Amino acid sequence: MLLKLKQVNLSLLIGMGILFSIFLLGLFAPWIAPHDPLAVNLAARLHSPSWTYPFGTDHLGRCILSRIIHGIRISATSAFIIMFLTLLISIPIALLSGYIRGRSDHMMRRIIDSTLAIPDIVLTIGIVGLLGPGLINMIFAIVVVRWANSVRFIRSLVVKICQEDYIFSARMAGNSHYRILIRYVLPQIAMPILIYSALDLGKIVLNIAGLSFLGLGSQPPTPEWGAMLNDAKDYFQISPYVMIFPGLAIVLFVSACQLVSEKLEKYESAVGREI
Amino acid sequence: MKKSYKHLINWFCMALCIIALVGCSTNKDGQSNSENKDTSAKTATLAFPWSPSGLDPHSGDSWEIMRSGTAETLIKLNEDLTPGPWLAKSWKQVNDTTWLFQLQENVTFHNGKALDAAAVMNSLQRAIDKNQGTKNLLKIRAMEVVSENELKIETTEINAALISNLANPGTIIVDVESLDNEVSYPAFTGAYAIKEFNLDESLIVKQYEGYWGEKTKLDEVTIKFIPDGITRLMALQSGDVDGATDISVDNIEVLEKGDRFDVLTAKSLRTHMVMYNMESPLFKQLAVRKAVDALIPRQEIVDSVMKGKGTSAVGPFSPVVPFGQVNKEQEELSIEQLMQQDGWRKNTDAMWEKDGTVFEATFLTFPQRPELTVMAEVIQSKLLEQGMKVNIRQVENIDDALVNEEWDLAMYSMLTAHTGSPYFFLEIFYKSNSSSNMNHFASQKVDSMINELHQITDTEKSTELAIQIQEEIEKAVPHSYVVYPDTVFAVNKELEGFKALPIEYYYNNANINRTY
Repeated sequence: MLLKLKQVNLSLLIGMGILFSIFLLGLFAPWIAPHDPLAVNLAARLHSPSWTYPFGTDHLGRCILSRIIHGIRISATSAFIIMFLTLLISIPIALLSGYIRGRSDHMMRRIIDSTLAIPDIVLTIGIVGLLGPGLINMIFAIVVVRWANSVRFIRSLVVKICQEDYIFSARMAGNSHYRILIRYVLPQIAMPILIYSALDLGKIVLNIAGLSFLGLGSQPPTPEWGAMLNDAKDYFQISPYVMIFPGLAIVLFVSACQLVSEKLEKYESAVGREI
Repeated sequence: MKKSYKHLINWFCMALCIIALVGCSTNKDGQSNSENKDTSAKTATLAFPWSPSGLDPHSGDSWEIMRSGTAETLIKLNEDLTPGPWLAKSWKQVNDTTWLFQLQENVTFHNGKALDAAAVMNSLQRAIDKNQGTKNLLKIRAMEVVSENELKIETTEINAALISNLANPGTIIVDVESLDNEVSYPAFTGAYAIKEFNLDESLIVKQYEGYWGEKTKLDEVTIKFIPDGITRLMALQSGDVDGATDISVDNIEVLEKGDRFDVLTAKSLRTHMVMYNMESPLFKQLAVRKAVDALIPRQEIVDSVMKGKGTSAVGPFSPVVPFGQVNKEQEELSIEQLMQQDGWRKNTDAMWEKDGTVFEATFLTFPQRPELTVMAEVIQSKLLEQGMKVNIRQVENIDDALVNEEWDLAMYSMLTAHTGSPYFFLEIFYKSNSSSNMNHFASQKVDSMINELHQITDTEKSTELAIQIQEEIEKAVPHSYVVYPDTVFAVNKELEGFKALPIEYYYNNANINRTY
């Protein structure tokens, strides 16, 4: 069992290490990136990878590596913002809905069901289409679409925990609803939410990239991974690397998120069994 | 009861299998039923970027209809852009304002009706009634049927460009009555007749057996409308289409690598330009337009974005035509001086600011011509370097967007001399009352100069005046002309008879043939 825990820890560390490295790269992008990500150099357009341009250049002669590094600030930061906003909306709703139950819970479930009845991507595109393309509108649209999923998941955790004996004991001991939710329910659901969020973070990055690829997210010349793929699609036959490197950046980030989520889940269940 | 229920399920499954097998079956020729075509027919499929919104030849869709090879005008422009006979066999000028046209004989519309002077008159009358632009171009006062094949046209004033303007697709000759028939397609006179039209998808044309001239070598041509440049290219590579127009110059080398395709290029009469919205607060003032104009790296764009397949532009007309030889004066003032002239000041972020508002412009572009978006991005970066923020927005229909949306700058591309005369473009783009004057340029002097241009019959004098008009327009910088691009299209080597011409209207002609 200990060996298994160690293996889980190692994978978890690798995943967290990748995410942390990406975070650091994004944070120190202006000092790490070899070139200005917006600097157009038409004389160097579509250059193959070289020492000067390790990942080559795009159709405007911009350094792809620098754009990927600066892209972290848009893609990853937007994903974190979306995740934070989603949790900010969904945790209180899910806590109240799952704890109070009754008519308000019933109504909330109907709202969630009707939101989830429409495919995610269709609803997101519809909202961005109405509001107009742009990063802020895209963030808003993704939050509007994702909150329902998040509420459903967290509410199911709350409902399960509220049926535990210690919650009944806490109520019988005269604790207020607020205290029960904050003191006894919230800590119990924190770990599953973390696992869920790690997995969701990857999906959000894919979502952002997808929308930017369709031209609905970041607008030129913003260095965003999905927008870079969109820019690259016209040139992938003559310069495949313009598409490969931004694609790899997305794959790496999403894989790291999934690894962290999966290993956190295993770690939690392994620790649970240990206890 | 349980047994019969099981039987029912078995029968249902068997029926499903049979339906699936029948659906997938092939006939004796080895074709699936859904693709049952006459294999002996010679066909070709072409990819064009734009779909007409309808088949009315006297609407804004005339250009796309003309390119389908189904329609004809009285006059056809030759390779050297001189007007030649088409449905009009010959013509002569009776006096300053009267012309007599002799029509081709034995011409029939696609519905079998004979083409005569009355039919041509009705068609031209409809073109004038329906489209103010056509009315302004032709300036027809009256038409008279002299005989079955002779039509007299009288103009309101001297119209030196009448003959070349009759090559404009807006004057396509159609059996007017066929346009009222909701069951059939419009009856034109071209070598191909319309077989099927699917909006935004395809236009299928077939050989017109009663054609008066040389019959088409192909039995059927399918024109697919594919707005996205890379999708058009991939459709060509995959064999879905046999030819595609407006191929991105970057991808020419991909097509030239193998021996499957011919890439055809020719100097065109097209001009890629940046439009300034002269009613937008940002570009109302000449100084700002001049500043942006000075920042456009034309030669760099030609060398790298166009890969040499074009020429740096100085005026609206390509130097292919004599009236395209204008000189552009170099701006003497620096960008800073120009911006300051209009009250702009650099803020602490090195961005231009006026009355507390930072310079931020909306720049429209469209996907049908892939190089335009790249040019927009290049210009965007140059302006950003100088402290002007520009937000690029790609729209599907640029003409609609220019009329209905808010914009400051827009990429545009236009066949500026497609009638072989300067008159068409100057009239529709720079006349203050023209509906196509989308950036709201207005100058009484230019209006009267364009009117004067109409009256001049002497070619040398008209060329001289056309150049003067361009110089007068250039003083106001309503547009920044960026590049005269070459026409680029690619065809499968199995297709022969394609020719790259400056005129883009006659791609789909009777000479195209499949050699296999």
